[in-house]
Amino acid sequence: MRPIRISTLILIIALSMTNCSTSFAAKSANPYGAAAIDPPAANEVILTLSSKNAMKRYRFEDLLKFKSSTLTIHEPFVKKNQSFTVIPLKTLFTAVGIAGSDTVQTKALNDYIYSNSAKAFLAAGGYLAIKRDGQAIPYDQGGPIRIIFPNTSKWSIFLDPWNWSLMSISVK
Amino acid sequence: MPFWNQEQEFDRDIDIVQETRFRLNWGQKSLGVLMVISLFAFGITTFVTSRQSISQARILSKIEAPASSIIFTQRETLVYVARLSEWLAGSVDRRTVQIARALLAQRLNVIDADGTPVGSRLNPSFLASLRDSDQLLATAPSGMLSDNLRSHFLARSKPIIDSILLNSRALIESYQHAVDTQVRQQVIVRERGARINLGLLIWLILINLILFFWVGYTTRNQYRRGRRAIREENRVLLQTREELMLTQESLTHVQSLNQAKNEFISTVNHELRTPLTSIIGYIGLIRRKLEKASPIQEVEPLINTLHRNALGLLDLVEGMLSISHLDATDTGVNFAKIDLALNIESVLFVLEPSYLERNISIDFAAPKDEFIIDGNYGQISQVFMNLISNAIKFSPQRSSISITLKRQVFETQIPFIELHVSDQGIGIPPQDIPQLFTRFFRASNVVSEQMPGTGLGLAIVQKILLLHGGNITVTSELGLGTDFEIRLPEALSATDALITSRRDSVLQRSTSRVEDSTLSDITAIAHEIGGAIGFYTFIDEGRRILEISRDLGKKSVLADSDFQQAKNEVLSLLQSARNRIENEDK
Repeated sequence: MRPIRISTLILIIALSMTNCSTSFAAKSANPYGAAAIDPPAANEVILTLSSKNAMKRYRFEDLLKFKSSTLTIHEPFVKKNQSFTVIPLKTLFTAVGIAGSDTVQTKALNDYIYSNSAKAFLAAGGYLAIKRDGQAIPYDQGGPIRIIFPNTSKWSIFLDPWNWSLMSISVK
Repeated sequence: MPFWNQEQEFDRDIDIVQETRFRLNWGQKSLGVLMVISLFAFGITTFVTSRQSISQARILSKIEAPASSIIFTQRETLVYVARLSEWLAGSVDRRTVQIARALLAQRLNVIDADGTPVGSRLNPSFLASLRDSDQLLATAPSGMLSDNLRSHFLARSKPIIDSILLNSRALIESYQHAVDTQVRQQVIVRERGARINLGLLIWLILINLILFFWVGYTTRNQYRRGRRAIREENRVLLQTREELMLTQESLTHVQSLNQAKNEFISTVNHELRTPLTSIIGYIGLIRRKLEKASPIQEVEPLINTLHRNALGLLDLVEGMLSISHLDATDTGVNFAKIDLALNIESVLFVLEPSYLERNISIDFAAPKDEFIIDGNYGQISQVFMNLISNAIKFSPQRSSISITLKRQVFETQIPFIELHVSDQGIGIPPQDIPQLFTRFFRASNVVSEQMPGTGLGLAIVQKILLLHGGNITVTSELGLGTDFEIRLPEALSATDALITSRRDSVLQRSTSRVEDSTLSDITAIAHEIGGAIGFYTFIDEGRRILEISRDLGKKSVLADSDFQQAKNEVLSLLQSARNRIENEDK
């Protein structure tokens, strides 16, 4: 009886953890946050990359496959240090063939748009953040993916390019 | 009345200086002071306005960040409401609305520059409306809203959406009102500052213009007055030059007249003396012949009177000749070294019969080669001759006359010889002493006693002594005797003479140097001057100035008060030395 209970508990915990790693309905620490968000549809695309000649759609799992690193910054919106798992924008631009001279347009789930040259994004050393403190980033905290810049970047205090809840990167 | 009045000339110079000097009247000075005060006030108001501008910029900067947050909040709210409406219309699923709500929550959680979250600015009713919408969504099924539920949720959501929009608008309005109030206050303050500045600026320009034209007008008048004064001065100078030329001509004329007078007197005297000498000689011859022959008692007194008067007349002529000659003589003519002891002895030798005849003893003893002066031998002999013969003439029989010589040294180390001729004669009335050296003056007791004399002897003595750089003074007591004191400068060596001649100019140059001295060079100048004037016979002053220089040199830091004190003391010592020279000259 006892081994069965333990194994059941472990299974439940494991299932919970698996669910957490792929869902963005993580419990929010935002005091103004809303109720839980419905789970995404199967194979939901969270990022669309497009250049003049190509377009690619990425699920969260696809993004995890990119070579990533950890970047700690002073997050300018909540005014505290946070560590993010990041993919360089350069990697993504290369992946879809965005040239430095192209004008890049980033768009959020709330239709917020910011445009600038790809060269400027790269010069500012931009990253796509896919996790925060090893966890998926909740929607009410700018998730699931967002653009960030290191503290040393000239755009570290210029907040317009910091696109939350990023939906797409395209060439204008 | 002299045509040259130095005081008037000096006053006129001062007037010209006053006339040509640039002056501001009290009104211009007041205006200048007012301008400075206004400038100061303008500076203060400009400073205050600038500070207000900086403060305003800071306030606007503080306003801008929350404004940006509120605008974004408004935007996220509208997006959320739009998604909610789309969901109610069946265009999007519930997840899309929930995501929009989450993004609104993210915006409300943004921390502003003041450290507070944007959500803290929200009206509680706004948050309540959001919670109502959350509950509405929670009760709805996931996915798209079915047609049969749409009207139900539409009816429930309408007041919620209205409330959210109303609160959102109120948020902006309240913030806008706060900003407007702050900006309006700033504008009022700034406008007031700008008005004050503008007023001050106009005031300053006005004062400047008034001052400019006023000073210009005054300057023009002063220039004209100065030009008139200079023209007048020029006229006076020309007049003075003409008067000087006339005076020069008069002087030349007077000199020629004086020369003619001297020549006339000399000629007349010469013409008188020659026959007088002859007459006296013949009278002597007649007397000797009468003595050999049988004397004629009636004739002898007449001849004696004639002889006495002829001698007196000769004496007068000799005196006039001497003084006439002295008047025409310049200082230093035929000067040579004279040994006063030998000179006096030779005079005594000549006068010996006259004082021995009256049993008068003369007390004189002086070593040779000790009392040497530079002078004219004949003139100096005449001085002693006149003085000693006077002493003999006015002394009673069997009295004594004392003649002393001694060397004296002035404080400035200049040596001179002091000679006294003292008798025990009739003395001089005190009231006559001031006029004793006047030509043809004779003391009242001499006149009353009918003693022979011309009144020229002492005048000649004084004239000769003055020509030799000496002087004569007299002290006398009526009935007891008279003492004449003579001072003559001792013959100097070439070096001494050079030093004496340069003393005054050395003192003048030293005074100028000290007056121009500064804190950095006073020590060196004092040292130099101390040594120099010590060499030029001012030993005490030089020694004291050297002490001052040494004292200054010992000080590690020379204060301005030390400098002034030392400078004043050195100048005082130099002035003291100059005063001594002036006294010696007198």
